[in-house]
Amino acid sequence: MRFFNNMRIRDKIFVGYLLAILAVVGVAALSWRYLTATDERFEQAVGRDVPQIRVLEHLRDKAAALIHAVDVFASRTAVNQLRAGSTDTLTAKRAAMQDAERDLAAFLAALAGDLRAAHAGEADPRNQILAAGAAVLDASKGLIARADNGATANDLLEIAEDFDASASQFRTLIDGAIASEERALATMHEETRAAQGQATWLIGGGVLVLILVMLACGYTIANRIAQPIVRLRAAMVRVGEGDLAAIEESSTRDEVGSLVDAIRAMVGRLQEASKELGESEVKFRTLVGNIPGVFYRCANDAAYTMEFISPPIQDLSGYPASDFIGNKVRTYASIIHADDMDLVNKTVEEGLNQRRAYVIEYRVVHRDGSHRWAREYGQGIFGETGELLHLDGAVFDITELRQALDQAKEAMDKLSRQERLAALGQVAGTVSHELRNPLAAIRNSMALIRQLTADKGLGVERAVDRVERNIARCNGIISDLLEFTRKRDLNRTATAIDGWLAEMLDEHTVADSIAVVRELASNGVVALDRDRFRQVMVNLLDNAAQAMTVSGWSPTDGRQLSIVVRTEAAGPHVRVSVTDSGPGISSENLAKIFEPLFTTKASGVGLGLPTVRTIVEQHGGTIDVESTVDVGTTFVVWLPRQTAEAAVPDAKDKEQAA
Amino acid sequence: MSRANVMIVDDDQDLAESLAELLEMSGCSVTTAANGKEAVLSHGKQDFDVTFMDVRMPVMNGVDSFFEIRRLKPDAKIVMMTGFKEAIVTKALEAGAAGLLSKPFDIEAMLAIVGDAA
Repeated sequence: MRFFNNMRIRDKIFVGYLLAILAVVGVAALSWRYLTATDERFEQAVGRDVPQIRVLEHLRDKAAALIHAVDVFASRTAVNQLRAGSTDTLTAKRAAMQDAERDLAAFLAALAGDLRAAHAGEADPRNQILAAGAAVLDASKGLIARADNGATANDLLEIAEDFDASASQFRTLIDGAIASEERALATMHEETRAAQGQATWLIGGGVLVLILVMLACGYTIANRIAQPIVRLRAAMVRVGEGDLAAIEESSTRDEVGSLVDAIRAMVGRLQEASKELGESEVKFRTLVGNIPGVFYRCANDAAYTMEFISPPIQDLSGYPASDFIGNKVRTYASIIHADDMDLVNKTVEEGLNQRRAYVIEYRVVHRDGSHRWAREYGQGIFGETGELLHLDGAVFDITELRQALDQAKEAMDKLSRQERLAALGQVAGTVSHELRNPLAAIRNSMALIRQLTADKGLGVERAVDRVERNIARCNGIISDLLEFTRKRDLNRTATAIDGWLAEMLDEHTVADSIAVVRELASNGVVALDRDRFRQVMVNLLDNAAQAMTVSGWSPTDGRQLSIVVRTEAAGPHVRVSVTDSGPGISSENLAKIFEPLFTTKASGVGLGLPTVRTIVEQHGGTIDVESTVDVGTTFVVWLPRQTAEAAVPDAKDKEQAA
Repeated sequence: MSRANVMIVDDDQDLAESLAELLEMSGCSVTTAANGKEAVLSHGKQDFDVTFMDVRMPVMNGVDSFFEIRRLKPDAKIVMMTGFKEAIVTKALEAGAAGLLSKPFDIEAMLAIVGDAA
């Protein structure tokens, strides 16, 4: 079996054919030999028996001739004696009888010789024939001798009758021998026919067995060749499914065996390569995972299906990478701030159209609701025929950078504003101070005029009143300017802003036509300079009220005039907002609203909001404004929430008092 | 001096009042308006020989009012008054405003314009 296993398939098939041919030849030779042998035996039997039959037939003919000659002689002799006729014819008859006698004797002698040679000592029926023949001869000789001795015709006829009896016995024996020989021959023939029939069946059976054996051998060989291929196929399927160890060592050394070995070697190398790839992918993932940026690859389909995104996406968005891969839970687009979506789409589209890398900065909406600034370096990956396959990119969280930049910018703005304010303050301070004296002189003079003209009916009272009123106005403006330009330190107290605001709103009233709505829900504590921050709130409330009661404006939809004062917790901040339902501010004016000396009011210096801003910033907060024309304006103040550890012990007492 | 019909448009009531009293003392007939819109409405009711128009006012500013009045009365004589050098005023001047008085101005300058107009 080992030898067979190690044979090549070509040799296996060759050997199979060779064996088949040998078997066919062998069966053919054997059956030919068998048939020939049977034939030979039959021929031998025929060759032996047929001449014997011929000999016996001869013998019968010779005996018949003798009997006939004896009969003729005996009857002639008897006739002659009766008639005492010539003896010439008798002599001839006698000669003929003696010829026949000699002929038979010679034949018997020859036969006897043959018999003796062939069947010496056997009780062959032919010995009886010989004995009977000898008796016939003796009888014929006795007849002649009796005839010569002058026997009577009656004696002769009697003798002839005896002779006939022995001759008749002799013929019966010969006929019996012939019949026996012929029967033996027939039996032999039948036996031969039977043997040949058997041989035919035997040969047919042999051929059938041979065919079955050849079929079995062929099937076995085919199976032995096919089986490893079938196993290989099954193993290959398992390899395809990822089981790289699926291929067993081949059991044969033929072509299939070497094929299996070659594939085994190949899969082994594949396994190694796969392992190396796995290792390098682990390296890659570790590397990518450690870089503080998000790397991604997405498909170029309608949904930009994410194929890979690195784990730091969790830091950026609050959602795990697995959420995004295959767009399983959410798409990347879903975390991009809605306001930035158009910019992102436009930039990506342009980049892809021009086939160049693009850089976009946009906001990502974090799971916790906060916004993160992201900078993305992206590009399209194109196939050989120029079709877009993927979008690749790296996204970095630049929130801190952005915040730092914003802070730097803000600080610079603040600095330049402070510089300008300082310069302005200096000039304003000087000018205001210089104005106070002339104004004092005017006021004093007007007081004098009032006294001098009192009760004189000159009709100057209206004018004097007007002068005094406007002197007071000038003094107010000078005070505002000095207040704005004077740098004051804050006197801060930990304050529960909601309670404090409620109290403040109770004290400060606005026009009856305006509803003041309180939504105070920050629960925040802020380190507040209460007097200064009251200024902020009064300013914002008065601005709102003035905006809504300015002459010549009324809400187009007849809505309730309202001021909503709202506080909310916003991470580390408390958000305080004042919203009016007034006419709104144009974007042009909105941009300049915090600039000193900018005002849209007919009266006013334009220092209210700059002062508010200064105070808010002194508290470490910021102030924003949003406005929609004909809808209203919202001022939002963000104040830093006081942390527990920063809270001074007495802050709680004050809070409770508030 | 004939009795000139003058309009003063200014949202500062004290200023408008004092100017009106001074002009009335000089024999003018003076109407005051607190903003551009009131000025347009007054012009709809009567004619004025000259109108003194402040620029920065609530409801309707002086320049818009100027154009409204000129639309009604193309020959109306309107003098702009301003405390700041507002760029917007130049639009009115280019469109045919009769002149510009920079605050604070001398009452004599105003009286001279009224004299010319009468």
